[in-house]
Amino acid sequence: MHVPTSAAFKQNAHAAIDDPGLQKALARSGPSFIARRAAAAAALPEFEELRNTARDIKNHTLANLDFYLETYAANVEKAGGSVHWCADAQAARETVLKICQAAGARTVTKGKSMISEEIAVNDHLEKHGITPVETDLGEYIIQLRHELPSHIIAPAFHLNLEDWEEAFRKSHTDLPADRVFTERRDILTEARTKLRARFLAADVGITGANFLIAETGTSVIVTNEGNGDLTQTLPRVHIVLASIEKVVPTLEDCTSLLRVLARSATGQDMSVYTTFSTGPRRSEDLDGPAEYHVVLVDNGRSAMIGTEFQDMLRCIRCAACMNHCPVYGAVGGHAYGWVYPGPMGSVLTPALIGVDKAGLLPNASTFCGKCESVCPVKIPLPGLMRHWREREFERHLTPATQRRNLGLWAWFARRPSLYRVATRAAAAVLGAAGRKRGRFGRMPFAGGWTQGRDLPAPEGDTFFARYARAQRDGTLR
Amino acid sequence: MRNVEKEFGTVTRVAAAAEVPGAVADYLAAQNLPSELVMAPHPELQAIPWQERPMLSIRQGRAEATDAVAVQHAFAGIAETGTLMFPSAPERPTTLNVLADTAIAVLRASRLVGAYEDAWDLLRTELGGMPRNVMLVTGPSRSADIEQTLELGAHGPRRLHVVLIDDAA
Repeated sequence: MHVPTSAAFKQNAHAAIDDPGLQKALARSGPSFIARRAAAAAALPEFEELRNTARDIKNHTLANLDFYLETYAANVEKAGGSVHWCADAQAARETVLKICQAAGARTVTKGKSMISEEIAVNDHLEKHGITPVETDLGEYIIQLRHELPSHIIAPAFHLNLEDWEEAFRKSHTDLPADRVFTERRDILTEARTKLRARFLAADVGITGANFLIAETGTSVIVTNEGNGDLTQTLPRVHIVLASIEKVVPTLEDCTSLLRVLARSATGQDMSVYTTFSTGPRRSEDLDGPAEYHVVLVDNGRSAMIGTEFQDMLRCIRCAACMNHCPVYGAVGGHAYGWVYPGPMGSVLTPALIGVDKAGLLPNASTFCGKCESVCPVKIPLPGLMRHWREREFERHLTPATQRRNLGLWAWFARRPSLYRVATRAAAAVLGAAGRKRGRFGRMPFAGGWTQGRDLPAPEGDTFFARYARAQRDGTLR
Repeated sequence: MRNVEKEFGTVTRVAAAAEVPGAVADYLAAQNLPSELVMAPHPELQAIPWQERPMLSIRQGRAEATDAVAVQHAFAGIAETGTLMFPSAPERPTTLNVLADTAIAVLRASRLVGAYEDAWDLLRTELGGMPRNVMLVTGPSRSADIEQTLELGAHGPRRLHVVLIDDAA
């Protein structure tokens, strides 16, 4: 089980910045995501309007969540499937294990699912003698390396070709040791062959769900590899793991969200395989699973309903926010210390594991606002991070020095004339001291800042002083 | 159909169903692929005069791990993104969509619609309800998990070929 290390974000971030392999991976992959999303959005004139539609669909569903969940569950059962309601991660793990044990499962194939990472179901299955096999290529290597994904749609975002080769040589010991990997295709081919056997042997297939459709009792997965389809079509039992906020009313609503999902995520117009599953195999069908189970997980979501964090439940896990985030781009996903990185993780993680453990994450933001501006469901991510900072402050979780300094600043700020005199004096002193170079390489009490960059020296007077002078001179424009 | 090609699929247009076997045989020969096929037991595919191409060996049913080439019946084509719709049915097994290395889809031009919503309308009117499985397929299987660089042919088909029958008025 991966114990969250979000509380050690600062140490994690320092280690990430000093990791040359990670920095190489980040430099390579970051800019391409941004360019591809921009091109996909520009190619569709109504893209901005679609973001509003997507937001409204999610808001409407969340406002009536109980109704749509009950309708969804009733329709799953009408189609011959079973629905298991689970309040927390523990209940969800137990439920999945019981279904697997009842099926007499030895191996279980898995499609990529963030909720399965969140509830750490793999460890639980392994502990009880069942082998889970991740089949998404990125998840597969993460499993071989016993890591968490570093990105919600590209789990192996942090790895380079040499890492793949090393992991494959270490794990696939039945293959000739002198085989040569010259290009990415060799890795892909080896994984395809290895996993093909796993697909055919698995007793149970577990997938996540990008959407659940209330109207028809359908679960939807989106993949490019086709691994999700082999996972859910070949074994005798299909388990869908989904959190409750995935539900939408109709096929058409789902379609509207699909139009913004792939474009925001990878810049594709549509992912290769978008698959709608409704119940188990029908009587005349030649293929498909005999059993169809949906494990519906709450794990903290319903507690967010009605709070300022309800907006976060609109998230469709496209990863545009982290792809555009300067902080994510500098430190990668693992520094965030748990399952969900980047801006969406900075808002969601405190809600799921507690602001006392993850309070540093909403502080790991420059508030540049890029995340909100690309979010396909317009979640006000910086605003929500600000709410977490306020809660952290209210609960006295911020460090004493920070609180004391903020208190000192507030004392000055509430006394405008004193504040003006003090800042003017400080600007004059700093300006004079740094006149020669225009910047400071070192500064007492500001080592955290000057360690990695220079502090520019003030040039001229403070804003207040210049404003007042301009008002006096009549040169104010 | 331009969108199919944008997504790395290929398309052959034929004037009538009778020309499908020739188009399939030519495609397989050009790609240097075996001429053994597994085909969906769909009446429209069964009505095609496959016997005119005796070199093609055809088995009907679901796909197995050993099948290299699958021929599937497309319920509809969606122009918006070059997407094919495959609702599962006894005559349209799901395994044909993903298990074989090469997937060939036979689509009638009269079944082309503009938007996804039009395809859902067709599905609701003609099939009455939601089948067990509906796959929307846009191009061949791929992965960008290794260094975020696209490689075709992950777990699903490496090639997706559409044979489009020009039956539109």
